Amino acid sequence: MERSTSQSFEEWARADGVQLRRAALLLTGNAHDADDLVQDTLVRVFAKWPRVRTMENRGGYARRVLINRHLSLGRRLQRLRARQNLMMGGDPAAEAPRDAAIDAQADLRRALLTLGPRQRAVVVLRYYLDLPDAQVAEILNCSPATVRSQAHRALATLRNSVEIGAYNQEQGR
Amino acid sequence: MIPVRSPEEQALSTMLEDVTAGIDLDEDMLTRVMREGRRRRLRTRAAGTALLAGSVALAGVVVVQSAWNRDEDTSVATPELTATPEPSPSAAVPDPAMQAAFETTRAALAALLAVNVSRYQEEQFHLALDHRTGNAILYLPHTGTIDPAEMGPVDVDQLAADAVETAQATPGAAPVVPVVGVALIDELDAVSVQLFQTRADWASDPHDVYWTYPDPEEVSVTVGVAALSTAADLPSTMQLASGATATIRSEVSAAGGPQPGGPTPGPEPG
Repeated sequence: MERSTSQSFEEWARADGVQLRRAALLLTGNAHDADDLVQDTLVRVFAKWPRVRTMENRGGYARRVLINRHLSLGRRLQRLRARQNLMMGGDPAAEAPRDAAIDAQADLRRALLTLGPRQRAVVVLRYYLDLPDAQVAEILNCSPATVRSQAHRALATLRNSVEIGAYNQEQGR
Repeated sequence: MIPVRSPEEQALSTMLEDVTAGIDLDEDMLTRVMREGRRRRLRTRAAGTALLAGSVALAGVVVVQSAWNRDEDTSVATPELTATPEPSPSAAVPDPAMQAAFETTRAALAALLAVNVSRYQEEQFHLALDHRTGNAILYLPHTGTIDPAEMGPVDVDQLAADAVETAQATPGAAPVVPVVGVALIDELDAVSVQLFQTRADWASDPHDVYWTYPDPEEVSVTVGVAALSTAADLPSTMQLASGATATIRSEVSAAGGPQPGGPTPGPEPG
């Protein structure tokens, strides 16, 4: 029983863990906190795996845990570190860019850190994970209208720092 | 349904993908996760053995715990499905006899509460008082059955059942009602979220409500406000979905300034 439980969790983690780790990087702004967040999330999912494994949407459950942990335990610390990174230049994204695309990506990562935790979560869930507003709202325990308004405000904030609209054109997409 | 995005939003999606394109799963991390998961199960089993020995010495006489109902249909919702509790301004403050019985229960269950070794609140035992009935609500840290074949079953339920028997055999203790499938911190989180989201309804000025903070140790939710008068209309207690009662406190806070201990601006779902 234990072996099959562990094996099925490991199989799932290998399939969905990459996306969780990428989302965590966007949420936290640095690799160290992102790994802490993902590890914390995976341990929690593993702890409840006998129940989670029976769910249809295990990935959705894990994403919800990830966002909740991001919004609760690490929020103050992440904000503090984000500010420190911005002030001290500790953010890897603040290192010298190599070309325009990387420059824009670094700008985006810095700009994400200026958003509040919930707005950042909306950006990640809506634009990175491409979830519909209803699912984002469910995860964040708010209304779809709130998701849209938060996304609108987040975009406006990001727009001040990053030329988002020109990115695809510059990349030939 | 595929969301419709503007060109700018599509570009943002592309940028986010590009930013994270080089990130893969960390094998070392996965190894740590698997190790930690197994370690928790071993630790729980060890704690269970220790408590069982203590319970046998304490109780002496075994009393059948009628309140211990393992019927899943009667259990409280799982944490992610916990219904947001409604405010209950009429929730009564416990009378002294009720409080004394609860304290006796807490003392009788000290051995159980002492096994709380997890750093995660929702994986700990918690005890809360139902102010209406005088029952002691015992939150269990795990749901379902954990039965690692190589190690033998880790029976958290049995652990709790033994503790309940101990409480029943203790003169003056309140009845203990075990709660399966929900953590106290999740219930308090739900209240915390609800209070923050509805601040326009109860605060004299919603902009003067800065944060809410659930505390499972004190079974309370503290609200950070500009002035105590801001929260004058808040109920002093709120009923949780499981039956326990949370105390609602107000605290004067600097604007947006998080307080020691971790209160957070805005809601904190589950």
